[in-house]
Amino acid sequence: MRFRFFLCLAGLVIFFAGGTRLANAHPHVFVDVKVDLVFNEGKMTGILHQWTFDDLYSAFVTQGVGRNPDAPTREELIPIAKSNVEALEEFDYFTFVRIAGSKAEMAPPSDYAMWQSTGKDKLVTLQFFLPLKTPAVPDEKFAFQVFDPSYFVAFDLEKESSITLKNAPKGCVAKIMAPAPLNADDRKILDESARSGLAPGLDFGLKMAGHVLVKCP
Amino acid sequence: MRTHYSRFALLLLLFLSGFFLFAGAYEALAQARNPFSVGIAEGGGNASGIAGWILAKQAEFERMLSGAIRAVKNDAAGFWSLASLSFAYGVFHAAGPGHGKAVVASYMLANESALRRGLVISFLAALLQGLVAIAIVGVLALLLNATAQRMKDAASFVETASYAGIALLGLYLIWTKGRSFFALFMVPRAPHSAGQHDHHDHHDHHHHAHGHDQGHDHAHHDHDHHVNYDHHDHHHDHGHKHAAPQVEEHVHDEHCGHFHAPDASTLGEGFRWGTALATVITAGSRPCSGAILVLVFALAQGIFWAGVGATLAMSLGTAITTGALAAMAVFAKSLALRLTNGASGRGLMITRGFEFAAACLVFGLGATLLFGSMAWAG
Repeated sequence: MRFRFFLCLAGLVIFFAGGTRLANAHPHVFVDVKVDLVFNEGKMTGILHQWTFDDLYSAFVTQGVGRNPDAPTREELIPIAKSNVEALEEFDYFTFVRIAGSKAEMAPPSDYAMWQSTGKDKLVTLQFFLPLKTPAVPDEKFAFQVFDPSYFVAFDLEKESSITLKNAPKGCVAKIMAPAPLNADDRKILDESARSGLAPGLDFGLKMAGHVLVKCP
Repeated sequence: MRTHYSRFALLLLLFLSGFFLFAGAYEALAQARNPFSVGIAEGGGNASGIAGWILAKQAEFERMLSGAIRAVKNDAAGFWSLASLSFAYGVFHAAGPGHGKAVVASYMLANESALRRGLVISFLAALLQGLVAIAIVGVLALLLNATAQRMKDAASFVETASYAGIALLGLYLIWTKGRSFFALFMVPRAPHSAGQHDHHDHHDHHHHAHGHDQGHDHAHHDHDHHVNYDHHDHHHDHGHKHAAPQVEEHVHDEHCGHFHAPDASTLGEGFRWGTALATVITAGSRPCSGAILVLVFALAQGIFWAGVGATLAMSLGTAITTGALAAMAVFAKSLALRLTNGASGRGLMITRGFEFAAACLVFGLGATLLFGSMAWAG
């Protein structure tokens, strides 16, 4: 009887703890990220995002838009792009730029647009330009990441071919770095988090996600 | 020795359930409505990356779902593979700490001990969840051709209302459970401790909690003493059932005060189905994002019916997972009660305290979620 009790107890714990882990990695929206790193006079001025949503979300976001519901025009989609980009402010546009180790300030975005591909998938792309508040020369300590700390949205920026340098000085490169191996302390925190089912802390998203290094000579 | 052990076990159970419920609530709280949400503050928790491979599987899975819907468009026979996929999605998607499951589990811990009803509650909550999604997309998108924003607003409204409902349900449970818990302190302890032990084993059969339904009511005379401990209406029924002579005969039993898991099954109909229904509604009214996305996608493909079928299959899958959780709650509770030897006065107090705590959890969950969602809405 005691054995059965502990079996049930273990079941409950696994259910909640394991379930927490499962749900942690449970995004509902998938985004393919393309970025243009825009330069002007040798300094990087900002990031032009092009986020292409998965087919389910693409259908959702264009629902009820346009005179021809199968093919809403860019003009018809502008209000949607605008409200999406405005809502992103609270989330730092899911874009985290670090210059020399500290978080860089971003200015309000511009040039937002949205369009739907004419292909079979009818995928929707959201575009906006996110300027750096102060344009900067990317030195060795210039890096950025695109991710959603809550994992509701899974951002996919894994291929270097998704990054374009626009108007950059000769010799500038952008590299995607895999996450650095965790140190002993971090590993301990993660272990504890796996046991407790509690989140290891938001900065862990940064530690675990790969990031893009930008470097100019 | 035995009591020592079991009290520890019970405390552990209490602590863990509370801990994980609030962990779940906290994570739900920790996220504002995502700009790309479908109006439900649902989703993942944190980018811990521990289960990164599950993430990849998830992406694959969503693609399989949309692929299956496309396949149905070409050949309606593909519906069955869509339905099985959706069913699996429901099973796994429900394996998170969603507040619906937290409500069902706490309700089960606080109130319910009949397995069959627990399963019915889980099933109805899951079915309702699917129906709400179908109603939102069916009415807004299909009939009114509303935009995503209007659907988001509707889903957010339903979500906030369900949080308020959970808080209210919690308040009600606190009121009823709290009364019976604190009433215990009001009852003067009569010096019956010697006799108490004699009766433990005698009462053990009352604690075969889970299997019991109405027909299996241990309508023993010694139920009468519960009138002293509980103030629920149903206990008066006992009083009426039993003949006066029996009451007198067994007055010495008073301190056995055994918690009987069948307690809930002897509740008055209105009372029981009232809170059970409230549980179904509050746990099930918040639609799941996946269902809304699938429905809108099916609508865009011109096969809304396939989305409806897929959503119902999802509900069935969710019902199985939630039902398993409810079953575990029932088993854990009844076994914990047997271990704590619920027949003793102390056991009863632990039991009532336990139920009271579970009621507090329901309220805490509802209140946190409600204030959280209002804060984000502002």
